[in-house]
Amino acid sequence: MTTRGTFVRSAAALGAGVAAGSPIASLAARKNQVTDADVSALYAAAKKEGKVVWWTGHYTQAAAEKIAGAFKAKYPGIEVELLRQTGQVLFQRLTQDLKSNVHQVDVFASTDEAHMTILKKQNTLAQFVPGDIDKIPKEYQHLDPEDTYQLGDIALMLINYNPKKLPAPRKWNDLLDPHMKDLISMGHPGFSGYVGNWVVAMNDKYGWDNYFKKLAQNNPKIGRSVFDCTTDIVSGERVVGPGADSLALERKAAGNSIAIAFPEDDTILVTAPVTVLKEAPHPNAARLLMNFYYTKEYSQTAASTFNLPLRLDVPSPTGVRIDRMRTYHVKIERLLGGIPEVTAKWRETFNV
Amino acid sequence: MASVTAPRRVDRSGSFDPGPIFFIGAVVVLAILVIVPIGWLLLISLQHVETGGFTLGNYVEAFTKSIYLRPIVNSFVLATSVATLAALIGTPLAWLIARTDMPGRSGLRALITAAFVTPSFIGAEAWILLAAPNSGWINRTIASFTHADHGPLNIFSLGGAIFVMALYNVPYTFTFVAGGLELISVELEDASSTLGASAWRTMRSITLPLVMPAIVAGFIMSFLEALAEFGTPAFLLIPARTQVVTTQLYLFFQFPVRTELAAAYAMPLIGVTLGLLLLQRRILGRRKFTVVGGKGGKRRLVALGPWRWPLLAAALAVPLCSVILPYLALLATSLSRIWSQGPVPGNITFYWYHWALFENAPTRLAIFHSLWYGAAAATVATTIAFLIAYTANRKLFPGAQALGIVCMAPFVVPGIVLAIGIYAAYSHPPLVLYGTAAILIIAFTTRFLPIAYSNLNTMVAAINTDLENAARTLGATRLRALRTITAPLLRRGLLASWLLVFIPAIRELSSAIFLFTPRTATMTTQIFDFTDAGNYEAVATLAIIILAITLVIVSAAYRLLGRDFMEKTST
Amino acid sequence: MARIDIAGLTKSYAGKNAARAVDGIDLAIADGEVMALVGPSGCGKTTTLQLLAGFLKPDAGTITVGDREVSSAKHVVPPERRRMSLIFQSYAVWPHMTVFDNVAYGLRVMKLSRSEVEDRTREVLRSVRMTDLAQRYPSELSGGQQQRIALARAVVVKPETLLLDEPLSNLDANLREEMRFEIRRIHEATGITMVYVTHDQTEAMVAADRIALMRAGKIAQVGTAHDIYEKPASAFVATFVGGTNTLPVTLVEPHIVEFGGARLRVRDDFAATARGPVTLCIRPHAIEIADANGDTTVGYRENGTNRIAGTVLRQTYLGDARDYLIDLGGTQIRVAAPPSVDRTVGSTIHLDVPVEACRIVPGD
Repeated sequence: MTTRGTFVRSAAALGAGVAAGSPIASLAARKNQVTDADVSALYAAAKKEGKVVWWTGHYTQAAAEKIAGAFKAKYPGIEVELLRQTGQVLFQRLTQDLKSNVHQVDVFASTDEAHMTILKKQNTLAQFVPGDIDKIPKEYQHLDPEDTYQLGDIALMLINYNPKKLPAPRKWNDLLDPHMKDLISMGHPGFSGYVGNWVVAMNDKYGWDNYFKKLAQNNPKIGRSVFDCTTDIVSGERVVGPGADSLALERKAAGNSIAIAFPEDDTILVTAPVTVLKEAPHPNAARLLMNFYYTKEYSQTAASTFNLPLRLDVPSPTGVRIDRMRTYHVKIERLLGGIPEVTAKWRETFNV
Repeated sequence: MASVTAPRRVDRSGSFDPGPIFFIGAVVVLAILVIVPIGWLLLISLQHVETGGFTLGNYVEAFTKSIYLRPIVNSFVLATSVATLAALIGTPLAWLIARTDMPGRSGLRALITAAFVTPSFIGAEAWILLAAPNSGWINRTIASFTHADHGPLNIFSLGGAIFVMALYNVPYTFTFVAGGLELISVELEDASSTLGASAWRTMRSITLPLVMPAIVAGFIMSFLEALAEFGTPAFLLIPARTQVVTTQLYLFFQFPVRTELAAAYAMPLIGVTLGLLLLQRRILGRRKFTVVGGKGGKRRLVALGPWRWPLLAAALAVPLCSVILPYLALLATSLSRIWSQGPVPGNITFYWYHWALFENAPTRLAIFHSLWYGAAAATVATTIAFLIAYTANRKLFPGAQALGIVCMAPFVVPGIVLAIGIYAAYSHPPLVLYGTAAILIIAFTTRFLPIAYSNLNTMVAAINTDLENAARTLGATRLRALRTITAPLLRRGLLASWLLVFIPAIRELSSAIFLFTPRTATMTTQIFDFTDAGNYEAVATLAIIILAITLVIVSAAYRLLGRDFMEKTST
Repeated sequence: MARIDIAGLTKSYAGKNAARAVDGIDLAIADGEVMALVGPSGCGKTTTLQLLAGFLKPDAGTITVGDREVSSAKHVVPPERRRMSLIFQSYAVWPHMTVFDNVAYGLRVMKLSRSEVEDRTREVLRSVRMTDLAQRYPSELSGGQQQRIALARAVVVKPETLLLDEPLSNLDANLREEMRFEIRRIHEATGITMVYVTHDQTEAMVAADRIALMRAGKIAQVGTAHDIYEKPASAFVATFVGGTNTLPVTLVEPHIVEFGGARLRVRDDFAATARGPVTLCIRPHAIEIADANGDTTVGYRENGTNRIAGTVLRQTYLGDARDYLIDLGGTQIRVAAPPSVDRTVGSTIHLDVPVEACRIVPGD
């Protein structure tokens, strides 16, 4: 908490387009915690900017567009230029742009917290704390102690399964049962950050030999993406596996034979960040959008697309509240070294 | 008569000819396109990732870790198998179509062309729909009859990948061998049969040895294609637990990015490709395998007699697997609202086509990008190839012929490696092209320049210099002669070259996957992303759209240029 | 209309150390003259023409047209500025343009007005009798017609010089006759200087005012057809033009050579004085087959003929002549005899040759 006070709050440090007396400057004076008055001021300034450029790796295109629509409905007069792509591609593009001093992104929501670590080191992120930060789960408030990025999305890695073919598995260890042989499908930590996150969690909880070497004996189908498990269950190719919550719920709602199970030995909770860039071309609109993340409208829209609402007071698509789940969260410090480490082990164990 | 002592005027007129500027310009562009990326790649491979100093450490790491060596072995096994299978299928097929009276030959040729224009990775996606062990339609059908747990086919295997890749490489062998067969004089074979040899023996001891160079040439082409392929290994071989060089290169670009390692890892690919191409050149000698239908006088066809129908059935098996079944599977999926439920009543809809073409802006944009980048690349490549072919053929300045080699150099670099080189070269000042359409156009232009060049080179060489020289003696400058005489005469060749670049460009994946950014996505990168998200309906729809566009263009080209325009191959 | 002076022209391909295609030739072509360059393949005639046209740069020497130096080792006026038209062996008529456009091309390059282009083109088409075919495409026309288009195209621009590169080689025999007439007609009408390259010495003799016979990059002899035929400067010239027998003989005295033990009297245009081996040239038509009547002496006879003896190796009846191959003790010669003279193979034969027809030339 005290580290926040060490940051210099000069106009220069706040980034582009920040004049003294602007809403951003006044925010900074109060440790960037947004109040309703700030929001109005930001909105007024944002309307003059006219648009906000939002790059996100969270959600599907359709879901992201829905949220953009909700933002525009709440704040008419501000165009949302949305770019939805996989996190790695977005990050690569952003870093290139920053290297060449091109600033076209306002709000950047990546799927990998590790991306933010790098951007933070390069001093390209602005500090910002959305109002209503107290409405999100306590453990994930101020994801970055220095507030250069915040929680943008929560995804759950849990067990996807076909209820017509299998009773609901109860634990991650159930996947090690011999009768699960040839039934499992999963992604690859080298290709997918979500899968990498899950692998680190399992490794840290059970140890590599106890979990993955045994899992290998069940001959799981290995794909690339975190969604491969869900897709394979829907197609009937496989029956069970570690997958994300949102796509499975979406497919279930469309009438496919798929369900999710919350493991007794912890659902793995993946936090994805969101940030405002220091040199954002539309700094006020940027902050308005990032602030929107913690509003009820945002959470409701997210829930309607089968994603977890960030606010605890908005019901989740499954009805289960995050703070009532048994969850396990891999911290960023562990993640940074953990993913390369487990990827190397993975390649030895699974030979791919 | 002028007296001997009259002063002689030295005529200096005509000293300035703007022509050379165009040619020099082409040379400069060529250097930018080809030499810079490859040079950068080499440079980066020798650079220490943090200090930027010279090091061989990247090579050491890339080639001593067993986890990096295994993909190399896998790639080699894959490429050899694919090339062998393609040759084993393509050679008899070529013989049946080019030299026998088997019925339906022209239909088969059309189907083989359809396979030629189908990207292998789209074939792989279709075959997943057909032959995934538990969910593939063929497997499910067979299992319902045999009451087994699942069907017998498993596309997620090395064999599956070899099968799919070979199917789409058959057209290479076919084209080379069919071309070679059509050039063999019927008299050579007659000589054998008048000495009493049966048709089979003639084929084995006369025809086969004569086309062996063509078979080898096709083998080498298939080998190189298989070596450089990214899409099919990504879809089929990861689940098969087989990492290959291209997927490993892709991994180097996931987080954390290791460009220098990728560069070092990629270098040997260039070496292998170069070596094989030199080998191919030596085997072929100076022969060209251009196919001009009907040349060489009448050919007598081998009568198959009662074998006609069984052989036709066997021959049809090939396009059945490469074209008919996959297209049907993709069509059915694209017309299903939810693909897992299949094309059953209640699920059939044009929803996804409407979505792709009218609703989904990013997809519409991607389709537009594919066409625009392809057209731009085709135009630039054809122009450069033409100017360089002219410069080299007419030997405009000493060493001009070396330019031809530079034009062909990208052939030696697998697409994915070229993309990495271009990424490295143009991602920092002074020339930052990363993230622009330009970098994709550059990648496609460079990648397919060799095709345009070898096609135009042959044609420019075939134009009698007298035709241009006549114009010059009548007062036209070299440039004017080029414009009014040479270019019009090459109209068909220029158009053919344009198409030979455009068609592969719109379905190029391996280089696009490295260079695209959110605003410059193409149809192929979209297919890749949709696959990752499990959105097979969108995958199938886009695949059908790509195929439809390609087939329309190819049919139009056939009508304009004759059926042999795609069969011109390089020396 | 101009004279052309070629001085010390040299050109070699593939590096200066390679054999020279054209080796220091000097040639003066008069204004309005038709000069033929004749020789076997590889003699350098085509290279000389290419140098004249400006498609090649000389390694040494100069080419001057009128008072303009147009080619030297330092600078070459490009073909488009030399005012030299070229007729090609392959016609080089452009297949993608009509006959009219082909012929009008040069005029349009000169940026003449439309009406002038139209008039001049129509006029020249009329003169080569191709008016009806003006809108046709070359692929629809015969070789002879295409060459006429090429000719029309070349002269309509009123060049200073006309260069012809084997213009008749691709035509069949009767068309050649026609084209030869055409070319001569143009020459008479315009008086243009022409350089005519051919490998066919008969064609050269018919078409040209003077002939330059070339061999291995050098000029072997320049002169009128009569000069070259009657007074060849070397055995090569003698054998190339017209065909001749060559016998190795020994010069023993001025005008006296020794051959096969006999002394023969010969014509000597070179006033050779050195004793020793020379070449004796005798045209097959000049040899008469004699009735020996028992007189078997050989050598020079006081009646102005030389008699030599030999054996009939072969004889062929050709209808208007009988072609004999005679063995003269190792040397073989041919004799063109009247068809009625019929000697059996293997028989001894005596041949009479007038002294006038016995010429010695310097050894090659």
